[in-house]
Amino acid sequence: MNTAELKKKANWLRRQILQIVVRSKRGHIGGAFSCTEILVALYYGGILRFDSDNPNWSDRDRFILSKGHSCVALFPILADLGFFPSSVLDSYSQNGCILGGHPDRNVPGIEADTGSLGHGLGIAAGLALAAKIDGRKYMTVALLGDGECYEGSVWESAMFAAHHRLNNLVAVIDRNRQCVTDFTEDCNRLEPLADKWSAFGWEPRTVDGHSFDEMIDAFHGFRSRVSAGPLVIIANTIKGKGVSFMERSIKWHHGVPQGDQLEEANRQLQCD
Amino acid sequence: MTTARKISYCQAINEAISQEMERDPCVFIYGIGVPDHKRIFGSTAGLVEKFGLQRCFDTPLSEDAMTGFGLGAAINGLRPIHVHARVDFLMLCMNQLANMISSCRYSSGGKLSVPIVIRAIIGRGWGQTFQHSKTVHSVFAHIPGLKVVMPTTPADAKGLLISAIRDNDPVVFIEHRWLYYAVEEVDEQPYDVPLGKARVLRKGDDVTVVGVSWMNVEALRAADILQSRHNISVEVIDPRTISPLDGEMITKSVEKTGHCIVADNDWLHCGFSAELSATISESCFGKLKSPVKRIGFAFAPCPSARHLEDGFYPNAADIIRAVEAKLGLEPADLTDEDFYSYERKFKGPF
Repeated sequence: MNTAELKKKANWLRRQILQIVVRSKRGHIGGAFSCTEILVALYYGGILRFDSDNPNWSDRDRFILSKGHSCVALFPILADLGFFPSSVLDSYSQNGCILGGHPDRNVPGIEADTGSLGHGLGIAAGLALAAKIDGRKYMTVALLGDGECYEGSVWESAMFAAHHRLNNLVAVIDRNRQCVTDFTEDCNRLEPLADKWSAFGWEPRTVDGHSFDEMIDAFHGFRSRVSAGPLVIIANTIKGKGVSFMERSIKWHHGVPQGDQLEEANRQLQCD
Repeated sequence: MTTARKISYCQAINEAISQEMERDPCVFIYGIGVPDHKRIFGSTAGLVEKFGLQRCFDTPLSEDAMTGFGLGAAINGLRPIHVHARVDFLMLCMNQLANMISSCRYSSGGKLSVPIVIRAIIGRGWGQTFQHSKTVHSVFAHIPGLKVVMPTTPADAKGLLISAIRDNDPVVFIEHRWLYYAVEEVDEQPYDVPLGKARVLRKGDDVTVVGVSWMNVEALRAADILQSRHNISVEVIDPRTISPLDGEMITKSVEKTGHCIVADNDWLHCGFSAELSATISESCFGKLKSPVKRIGFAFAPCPSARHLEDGFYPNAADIIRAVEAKLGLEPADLTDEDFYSYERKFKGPF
């Protein structure tokens, strides 16, 4: 897809997220909107290799949504790409549906149960190390929240990955500068975040996480990097991006717009 | 002079913290969401406005490190209150809690004490499934050096929390979210309820039911129905403190009735109910007219679907059936009885 098509897809995805959240009366909408372009770039921008007809294809790239609370942004993509029928989205979070509030491996296209923050990078490092041991060429990409980087296990995994020279591993940080109840720089400063990753032996790249050109450029040549270390892409984003009253608002970490708010959100997301 | 007025369990907790922070400048409260807009379900409302961000602050998602921070503050004379909106998150603090805090007094030869309170909220009916619905009080009670408190009533919540804050040892204070709605008369003045003392919630002669946290509400409901349907009088005992445990009061009651049911708010296997059952078997052997019966969660991760979740948790009907089985009574028709559910929340009073 070209940039214009990707933008259109991102707008479609936000509308899907809104619909699902409103219909099911639940969902982490703010964090889903912040990583919308990241997910669209990964799945439609020619970055990840996958086969929706054969979700367990052994050479597929492994994608771990470590910030599992944002699965409401990933499920419509997986449905759209044919991992499961789009009709399944209609029963999101209902009894008997495979789609719940967090990703789990019952869902075709999902590699790991996530949502308990701080665990995805360790799993991703394990998958990347397994690829090295098995001589396989697949890449492993993990998407983490920036608030998630408060967990010590993230940095334990970061050290492990660097030590084992896992240059087939990429961590993308959704740097929306908010955690569940606060702004990260008020709660506990994360900056200088890129320097921290660099000091842990990772190659950091910082991009605008809502710019497809920058995101795709950051992944350029990621399969054949000469660097021995893993790659981290710090994607600067806005929590609640796309709906003005949700943007950078603490209370929209988790929430369901109703009445005038819903009307306004729909209005803002209509234009392609 | 004391003034009692009706307030909720949640307000009682809030009042206890506020009064203790006012009394002692060494007391401070911290944790994820403590000063945010929801204020830990309202239990920390008004604290940041009253005491400022230095004594009431948010923390990063670094649970074990933040527990270590509490340890450092406590051994230097402060009295931290660390809050977890779900007890499940406390599992991430186990290194500091089990390996450092609990044994600090012992390992320092009594030179150091750790006056920290760790508040952890438990609950049910959230549809939040296996990672947000645990209780696991027996895990903490298993460790020497940790006190474990589980208040049931608003008045106990206030008095026990004040005791916990004033205690010189670490206390894990476990609050059931459904009890937050309970209302009763609570003294406005600060007061303490001693740790390690059980309480008779309802006097009876035929069967003893020892309830833990929310299960006392179910036990009281069961006792009402058993009285009206079978003319059976049930004695309901709330241990209030899981560790140290007031075995004496429980033993006395079981010696009187000869029958005991432990209604725990947790899994049974290797749990508090097993511990209490063993204690009663040791202390009341020969006086028991029937084996101790245990009631608790299904031994499985908590499911998220409501109908499965309802099957996972025991309720008053399970207690009634257990009493009937013990006493050889015909099961009463419970069709018209109202039981508490997520939709029909308990409001009190006790």
